[in-house]
Amino acid sequence: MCVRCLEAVMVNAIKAVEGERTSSSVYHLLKGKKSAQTIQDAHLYQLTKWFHTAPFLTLSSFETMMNGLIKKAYITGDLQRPFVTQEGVENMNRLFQQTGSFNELSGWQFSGTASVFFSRLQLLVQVASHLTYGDSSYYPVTRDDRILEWVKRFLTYMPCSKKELSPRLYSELDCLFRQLPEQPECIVIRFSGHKQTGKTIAQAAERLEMEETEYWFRFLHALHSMIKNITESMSGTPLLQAVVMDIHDPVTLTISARQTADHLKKAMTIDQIAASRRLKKATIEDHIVELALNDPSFSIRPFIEEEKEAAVIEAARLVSNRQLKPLKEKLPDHSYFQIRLVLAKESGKSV
Amino acid sequence: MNVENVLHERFGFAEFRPGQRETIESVLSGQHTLSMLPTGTGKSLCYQLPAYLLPGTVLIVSPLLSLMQDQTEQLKMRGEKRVIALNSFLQYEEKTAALANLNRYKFIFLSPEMLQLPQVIGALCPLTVSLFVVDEAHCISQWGYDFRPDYRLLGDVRHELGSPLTLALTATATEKVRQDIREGLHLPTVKEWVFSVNRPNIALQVETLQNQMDKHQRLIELVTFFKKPGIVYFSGRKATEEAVIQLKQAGIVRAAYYHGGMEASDRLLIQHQFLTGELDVVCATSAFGMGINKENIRFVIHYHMPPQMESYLQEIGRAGRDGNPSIAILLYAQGDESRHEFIAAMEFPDDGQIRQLTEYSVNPRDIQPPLSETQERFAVHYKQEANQKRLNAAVYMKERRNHLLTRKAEKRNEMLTWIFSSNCRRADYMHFFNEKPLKQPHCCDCCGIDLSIYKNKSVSRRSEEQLNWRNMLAQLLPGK
Ligand SMILES: [Zn+2]
Repeated sequence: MCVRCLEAVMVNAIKAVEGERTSSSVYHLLKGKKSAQTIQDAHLYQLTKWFHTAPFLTLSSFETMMNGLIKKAYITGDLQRPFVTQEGVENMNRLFQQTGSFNELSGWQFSGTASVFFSRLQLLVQVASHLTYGDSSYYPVTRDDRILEWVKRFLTYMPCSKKELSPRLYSELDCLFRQLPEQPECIVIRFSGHKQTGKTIAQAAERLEMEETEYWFRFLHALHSMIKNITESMSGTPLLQAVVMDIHDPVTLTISARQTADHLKKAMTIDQIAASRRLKKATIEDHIVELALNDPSFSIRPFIEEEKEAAVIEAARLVSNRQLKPLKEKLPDHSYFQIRLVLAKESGKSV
Repeated sequence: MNVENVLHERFGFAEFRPGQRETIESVLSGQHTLSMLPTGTGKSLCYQLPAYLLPGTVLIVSPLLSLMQDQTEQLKMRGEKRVIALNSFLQYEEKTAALANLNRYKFIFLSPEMLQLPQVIGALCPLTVSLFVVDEAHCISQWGYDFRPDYRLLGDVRHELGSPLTLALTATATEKVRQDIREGLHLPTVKEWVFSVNRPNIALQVETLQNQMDKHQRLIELVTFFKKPGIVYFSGRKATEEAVIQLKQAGIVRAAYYHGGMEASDRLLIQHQFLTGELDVVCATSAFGMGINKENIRFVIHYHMPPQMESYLQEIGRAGRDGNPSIAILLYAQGDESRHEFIAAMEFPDDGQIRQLTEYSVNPRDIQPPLSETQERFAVHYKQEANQKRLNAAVYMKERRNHLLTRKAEKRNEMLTWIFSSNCRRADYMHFFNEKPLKQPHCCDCCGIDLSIYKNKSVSRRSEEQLNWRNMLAQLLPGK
């Protein structure tokens, strides 16, 4: 294999932003930085599925990999202005052909939920397993007090007896695993229970004979698919629904953007909000774009008239890639903010 | 209830290990106690047991988060729910909630930093502290091998808490260090129990090899040969990972690495796998092993020498807790010690960082390049101390740093002297702690040992089964 899965993901993201963004914007995207800029980029370039899918990255490991890709000539230019080469595209495609294209992965929607969900699930399976085998002395698989507390509460209030927990969990998981886009072993191998300990990510990858980052993305893919199925089909998996329920936050907003939303509700203008929050006007505009992306009920009308909105949508159809500059050239009377806002509202609909 | 009853009923042990009874009875008779018990003899029982015979709360000061977590988990596993660990990783709300309800807990574990916070002291003062435990008490001394500047403030803290009954525990402390412990904790009268550092069931061998290649080869030979489970210690993260690849290639499949660069959840899994016997060998940095209660470790190999004698004894002490024959091997190649020179220097802020801290008063968190946890602890402590003493902070910090670096170099040389010595290895290390050496069978390479005693006799190799998620899931969560 000449390219690791994570590298293919990087090439994929660089390809989307090439000529317009630096490589660090891709780093922030994969790392899931909650800044208005990163969130907008994720939507603007339709990279939401990769958002926050590689939280383990460090800037230096990312740059080392970028330089590796440049050396292999999959990417030209430099970290400031990277472009993907034909060879890079071919290698990326070859890898995705083998791994599949992770269709049900949605970092933007699920990454926050997924990590909490999996920690809870791991602990719940461990507890259920030991309960069934009547084995009460074991070390919990997590040291996160919030997860420990949550499972304790869950056991008190769950809609079944302790005896039923294990078979019911089994049947719910079985039901989900049958619809999984990945082999269910990639999830099960990570569970701890009676007389067996879950495998680490590196161990799981080795055992399943996969490159480590390929395993990681397949694992995430499986996890996101599970969460999607749990939240969408409202009947089949009541226990697991209760596991996900209070984590799922459909509108993922940065705190600062929420505050801007509160000010907008008081009918303040952008300038007034900027003045009262001592922020730059551009920052407030970023928040508004973020709101447009995330909240389907958010109206952009105060900032752009209907006709001008239609003009942006029309122009965007003609310009195939979503670059702002050519759009702006076609729309001299629009501000950049207005163009971004309309694009955000439009891509928000497709999330 | 007497101590034996508690030992049987609470802890399920038939008898005490050497030193436990003396320490416990000394504490229960109301005497401040300093106890030096070799690693692997169950130090934590010395405060856990008295807790059930004393009325109030037991405070335990512990230098490491992971150690604290291991100890709280062990207590919880025994069914003790009144346990809490207060450390700087708690979220603000969690901390506030915990502090408001401290009287609910029998065991309160704290890091020394936490004891510097007025709100923490404020919450502790109304409690009846029946025992104040200082674990790893050698950290208080600059002569100790693991000096922690914030440990030096524990004496004042003790005072603020009304000078409660105190138990200082350590595995390895020379007389000089023990004196520092007594003074540092303001303990004028103290009952001192010093037990031998000797662990008779652990044989010792040092092997000098030409280069790293030879060492790698020898490592594979040894790990293949010895009865397992075992631990191999390295002084770098990368080295642990490389060794596991090589061991696996050589057919030792149940091997894994462990180091501080891994995700916390992954580290926990490796620890569990080792405890449950799913792993035969862990290749680890010194981050592994503290607080792990595993009785049957058969060998400890040092692929790299430790930075000092005390660490070495602590690490090999993890072998043979069950009293059965075990072996410690140290592999040395010329120049290995230089790794520690580098590592030691990295523990302190460099001149540039000190300048930012002092001349430009940069917040320690914002210094470039960023300070490590140990560097930050050093920086904060000595800057404050310099200010109190009205000394030039930059000069003072550099002076302290250089002093500690010199100490570390001396400790390193002691370790090297031991490696190069042709005397009995056991006699040498016992000498180090002013103990009278004694002759015993299965002692060390200099006295002559027979490695075949430690040979792996069972040849059964479990082949890894086919993975099938239905079977795996049914095994975990069996139906009605
Ligand atoms: Zn000897």
